[in-house]
Amino acid sequence: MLSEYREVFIEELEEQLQLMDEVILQLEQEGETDRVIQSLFRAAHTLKGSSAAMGYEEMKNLTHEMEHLLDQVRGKAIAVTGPLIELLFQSLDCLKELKIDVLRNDGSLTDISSCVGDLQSFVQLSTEIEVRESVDFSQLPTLSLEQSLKIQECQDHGLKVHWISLKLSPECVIRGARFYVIHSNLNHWGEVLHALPDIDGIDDLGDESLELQFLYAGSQSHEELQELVAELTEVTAVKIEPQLTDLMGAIESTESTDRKSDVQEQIVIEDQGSVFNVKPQTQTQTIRVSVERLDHLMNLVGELVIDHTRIHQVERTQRRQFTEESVNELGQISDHLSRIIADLQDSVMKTRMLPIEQLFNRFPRMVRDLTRDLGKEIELVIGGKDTELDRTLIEEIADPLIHLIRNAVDHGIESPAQRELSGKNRKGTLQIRAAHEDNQVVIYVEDDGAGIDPARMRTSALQKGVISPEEEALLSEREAIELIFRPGFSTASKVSDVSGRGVGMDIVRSHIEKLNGIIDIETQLGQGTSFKIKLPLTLAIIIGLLVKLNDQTFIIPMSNIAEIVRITRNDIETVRGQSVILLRNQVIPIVWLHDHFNMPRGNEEKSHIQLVIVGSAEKRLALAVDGLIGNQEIVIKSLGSYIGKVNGIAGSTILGDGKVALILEVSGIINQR
Amino acid sequence: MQATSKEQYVEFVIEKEQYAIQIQDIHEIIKMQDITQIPNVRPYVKGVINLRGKIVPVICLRYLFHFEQQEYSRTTRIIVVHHQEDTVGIIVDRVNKVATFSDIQAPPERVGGIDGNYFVGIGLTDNGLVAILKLNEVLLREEE
Repeated sequence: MLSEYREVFIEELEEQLQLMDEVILQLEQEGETDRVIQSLFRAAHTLKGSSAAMGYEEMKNLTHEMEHLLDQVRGKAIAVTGPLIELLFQSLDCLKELKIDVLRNDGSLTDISSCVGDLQSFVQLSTEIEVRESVDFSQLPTLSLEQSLKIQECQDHGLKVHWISLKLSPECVIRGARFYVIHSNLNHWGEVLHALPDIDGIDDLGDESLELQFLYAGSQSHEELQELVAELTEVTAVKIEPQLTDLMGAIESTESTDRKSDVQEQIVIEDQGSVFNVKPQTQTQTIRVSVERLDHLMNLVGELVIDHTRIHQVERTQRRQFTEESVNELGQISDHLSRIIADLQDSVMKTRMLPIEQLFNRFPRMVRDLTRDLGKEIELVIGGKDTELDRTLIEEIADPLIHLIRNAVDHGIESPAQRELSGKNRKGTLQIRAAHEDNQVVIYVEDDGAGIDPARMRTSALQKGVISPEEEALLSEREAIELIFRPGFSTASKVSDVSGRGVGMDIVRSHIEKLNGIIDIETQLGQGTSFKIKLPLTLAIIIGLLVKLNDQTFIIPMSNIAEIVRITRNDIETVRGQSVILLRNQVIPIVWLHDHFNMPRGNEEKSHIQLVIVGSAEKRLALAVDGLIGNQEIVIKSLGSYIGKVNGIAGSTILGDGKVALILEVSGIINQR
Repeated sequence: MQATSKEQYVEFVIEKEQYAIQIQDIHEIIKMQDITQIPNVRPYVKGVINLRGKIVPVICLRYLFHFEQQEYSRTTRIIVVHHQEDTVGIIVDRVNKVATFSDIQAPPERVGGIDGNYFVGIGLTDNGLVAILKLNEVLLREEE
């Protein structure tokens, strides 16, 4: 019933959560500033309002507590400390859990009571310390299991459990009696679960013991209790602390849920075939489009409508009398139409475009958590946030990127000690940048870590049986490094929680290739590693080069084409039985596409041969074709599951004449060799 | 003569033999189209056609039934059928009519030299016997 609002709410929720993530990180890194606290407070406040309006009680309660805490921070009643930031992150994670509940929309709810409790007690605890700091109380005793159970039971009954520490005034004469009075007073208001010193030993109460501690359970709130206790006589100082649901324990438990989600991710990654396709069903499928863009679309559609009526008009004229003039007019309309359609296509594509910021913003928190877990020091530099690309691409590229980042943090960048040894800055740098290059998006993931050692790659690949010794001997340095992309290869000498699960780079590469992208690796031993991912701007429409093989038309994606050359038969040389062409001192093997597709080689007698030099990653290949037709934008259509995956074919498209043409999968052709 | 089965079938011809497909499996019947061959696929998959903007694979029964390949003629048709999630075209020599059968018998081990597993049964009509295709078997044939 509320579904429309729900979608809007979810969008806002995601935005605010993202914002909070960023701001808390900022808080941690740059310390407390009014602006940061203010924006955090505002985010919590906004969420509180909207979740209350939507009737999401839990979320409202949690954000309310956060707001309250932040208000105290804002008013300088609570200082920004490590535990505070940890607590904020914790609450944020809890909010994220709730978000998932909302997305799932099946009424199941994450238990937030411990998180709310922690927030409340943090506020009380902190303000308490502020106020009573001057009075020094001894540490609270640790509790036995039995007592903890008792506390649990009381809390289950809705009672609040507090530690009450009292200092008797030195003038107090009969301390045992005073203690007894206080004890029975407390028992009258509620129940004393534990008392220090023990009530049975009060007779032995010495002069020196002025301090009393009670573990008290009652219905009173913190403030009410404070008032009650204040009425006690012969008491000089009071400190009331809530018995926490155990702040430390709570932190541990959230950590274990962290680990749980990590395990889930692991399962996803290990499921080779469908690796990155496993997406939660609950993902929202809305997109925000600026009104400006929509207006532009509307204008274009308006023009289309006008053209439509014009065509109609011309048709009627021609029916009456077929004149040169009317044909010319038809030509004009057709030209105009093609312009509008091009514009329309462009605009529609743009509505699908989102800044990559959406994805990049997830990384600071991830890197922070990773570095903390792995005990490293890393500075994350993010660039080109406003680079736009297709929404689907952003989703699809997320997992490969996360994998690369994890790898860089885990294996790439060394530990601070090691870095110092090799004369580097203790703090490693991880750079993630995006940019438009030509009609493509390029994403770099660069670290200044240890780099990849080709020699280690060789031995490791041999050990794992990824390559044979004969193969190994033939490998160039470059090829040795590219072993990292081979299936079943993982250089991690020990499997850590973060990466090195035995699957990895090969999956990353195959996934990027599936997106018609290219991944490149650049590494320098001791200096660092750089991954470069090239992606098309959009998945659905690509620019392709139409080529002829015999009388069939094939399409080579433009993004794969390095150059086109025309050679004579004499230019072809043979190396170890393989036809090659020497192009600017680079030896490039030639492949007759006819052979690859089991078609007869046409025009053997022709003196000139048209070669299309294609590349996937660093590999180059010269494809011999019978002729070039030209390039055009094509809409990719899958061949369907009945035909399934055909090696060397990425899909098909329908040409202007209504015929179906096949699109080559360059990476497939290269890898098959 | 009373028909024992009211189910309707589309009857077609390959190499003078009559075959049939249940009518509810059929999406449409179209004339021969330009087929774009796909390299390196199962040999009886002739390629794909453009069916009003949709890419539809077509298969050749002649190949499956071990008949000689023949030039397509004026009567050649593509019977477009639904198969699970997919739409698949089947090339036949000629489409006869919509038929009902008075009796359907279990298929023998071989039907005129063709593996009997391809068929659900043999339908009896006034004009003789008609072999009814088992679409699952025909379409999902693995390469021999």
